[in-house]
Amino acid sequence: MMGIERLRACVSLEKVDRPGILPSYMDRFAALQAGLTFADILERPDDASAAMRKLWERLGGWGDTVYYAGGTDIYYLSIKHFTRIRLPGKHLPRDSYWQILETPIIQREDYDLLIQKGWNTFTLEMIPRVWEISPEKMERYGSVAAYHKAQAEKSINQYRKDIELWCKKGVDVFVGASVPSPQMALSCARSLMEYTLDLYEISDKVEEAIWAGLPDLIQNGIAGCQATGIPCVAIILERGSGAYYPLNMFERFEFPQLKKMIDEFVANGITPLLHLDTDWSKNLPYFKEFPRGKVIASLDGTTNIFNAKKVLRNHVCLMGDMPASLLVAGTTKEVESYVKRLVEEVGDGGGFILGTGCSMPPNAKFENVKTMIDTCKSYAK
Amino acid sequence: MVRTIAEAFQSLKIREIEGIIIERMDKGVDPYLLIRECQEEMAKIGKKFENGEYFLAELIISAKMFEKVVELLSPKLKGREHGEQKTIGKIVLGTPKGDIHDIGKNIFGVLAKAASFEIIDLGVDVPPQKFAEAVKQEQSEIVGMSGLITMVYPSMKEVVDLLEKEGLRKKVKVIIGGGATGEEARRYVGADAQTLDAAKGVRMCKQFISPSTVGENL
Repeated sequence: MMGIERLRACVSLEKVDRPGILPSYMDRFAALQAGLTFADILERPDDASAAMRKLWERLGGWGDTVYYAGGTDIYYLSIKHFTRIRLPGKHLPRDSYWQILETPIIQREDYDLLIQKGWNTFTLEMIPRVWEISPEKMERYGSVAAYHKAQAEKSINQYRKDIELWCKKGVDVFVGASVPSPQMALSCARSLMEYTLDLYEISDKVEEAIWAGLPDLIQNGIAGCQATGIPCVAIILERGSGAYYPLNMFERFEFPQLKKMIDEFVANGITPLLHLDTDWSKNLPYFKEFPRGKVIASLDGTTNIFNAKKVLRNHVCLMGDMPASLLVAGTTKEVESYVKRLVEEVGDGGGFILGTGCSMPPNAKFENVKTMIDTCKSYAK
Repeated sequence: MVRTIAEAFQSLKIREIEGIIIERMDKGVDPYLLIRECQEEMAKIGKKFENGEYFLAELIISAKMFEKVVELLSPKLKGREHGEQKTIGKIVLGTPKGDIHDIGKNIFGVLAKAASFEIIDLGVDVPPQKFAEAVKQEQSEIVGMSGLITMVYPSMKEVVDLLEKEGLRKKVKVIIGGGATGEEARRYVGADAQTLDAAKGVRMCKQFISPSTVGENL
C-alpha cells in the first residue's frame, strides 16, 4: 500500500503493514537544512517550498504524502487567530524564529461585533489591528476587504502552485485547508489571561460569540478544501484542552462547536485533522462521539498517546507524537526506541499515523529525523 | 459577594479580592498576616492543580489575584522595622535569548512568590550574560529558564556554560520549563531539573533549598 491510500486506510482504522508517516510543518526544518533563514521562508515562498522538495529527496521521502505543500503563510497565521506576530527580517534578526505576541487584540466590547456580523466580517474589521497595514499600502488597495482579497488570492495561488510541484514528483499533499476552533482563536485574540477572565465573568457573551462565529469558520474550511481540491482540513486546537479548563467549560465552549465542525466537514466528504497541542487526556472520552473512522487526532507529545490509544482504539485514528525535545536533543537510539514503541503499541490493530508532536522542530537533528522515518518504514512487509 | 480571603480564592473572585484586603487593612490587620493568608490559599490551589483537581484556568486567575494582593500590600510592608517579607530563597528567572514567550514564566513566578521565594524576573529574550550577572549580584540559589520553542535550547545551554565558566554553577540549581522542553533538553542544557508544570516546578525549587521538603506540597 502506497502514499495517500495508506493514510486513508489508517484514518478508516484498517489494518496496515506499517503505520502511515506524516510529519507536519516541515518547511522550517527544510529551510534550515538548505541554509535559508526564517526571514527567507516568509519572503521567498518558492525557495521555501523548493527546500522542502530537496529535503524529501535527501530523506528518501519523509512520509506517505506531505502534510502542507509549502512554506508558512504568515499573513494567514496572523489573521486566523487575530494575533500580532514578530517577524524575522522586520522586528527580529533574519535568523530568529517568528513569534506570536500574547497581547489582547480584541477587547470585551468586540464580542458584540462578532455576534452581529459573524466571523468573516469581524475578521475584516480586525485586520488593521492585527496586521498593522500602513496607510500608504491600504490606499493602494482601496479598502481592507480589497486588501484581504488580494492576500487571499496570493496565498491560494502559491498553495496551488506548490501542490502542482509535488504532484509532478508523484507526491500527494494531505491537508487542503486549516481553521482554528472559535475558542482557540478568541483565546489568542484576547490573550489567555483576559479570555480566561471572560469565561468566568461574561460567559454567556463568550458562548454567544463562539456560536456566532462558527458557521463562517465551517464554511471557510469547506471553501478552502474546495479551492485546493484536497479534502482534509486541519482544525487548530490548543487553548480549550483539559490542561487549561475544567470539563464543564469544555462541554460548553469547545466540544459542541467542535462536534458540529466535524459533523459538517465529514458530511462534505472532508477529513477533519485535529491539531491537538497541550494535554487533552481528560477530554479524550468525548472524542468517542465523533464519527468512527473519519477523524484524525494529532497529539503533540503532551497528551499520553499510549493512554489515548486505550481510550480511542478502533474509533479515532491517532497521529503523533515525536516529542520536540527528543528530535532536537535526543540520540538516534532513543528516537528508534520511541518510534518502535509507537508503532508496536499505538499502531497495534491500525488507526495510527506517525507524526511530529505539533510541528517538526526547525533545529531537529537530521539523523534523528531520518531515524524516525526509516524505523517506521522498516515495519513494511 | 464573598467576605473572606479564603472564599475569594476558592471561588476565584478576582474583582473582589482588592476590596476584602482593603477592608481588612482598614480594620488594622497586619499586612504580613494578610500576605500569609493569601499564600496559604495559593498553596491549596497549587496542591489541587498538582492533584489534577484544578486546571490552568484556576492557576492563572489565582496567580493574578495574588499579584494584586502583593501590589496592594507591598508599600505597607516596605520600610517597616522588620524590613521586607521573609523569603526562603532567590530565583533568577527569565525567558532566554531567542524566545519572547512569557505565560509559563509569569505563572511560575507568581506561584514561587506565593511560596515565599524572592523572584528576580529578567523578562524575555534575555542574553546569557544577564543571567550570570544577576546570579552574581543577587547571590541567588536558583536559576529558572522558560521557553516555548526549541530554538531557545542553545541559549539555555549558554547560560549554564557561562555559570560554569564564572565559577557559579556549583552554587546554583538550574531548572528549565516550557512547552518545548523535555528530559533530552534538560540533559543537553545541563540543567538540574525540567518540568512542564509550574506548580511542580515550585515544589522542585523548594526541594533544592531544603531537600527535606521532598513530598511536601506547596
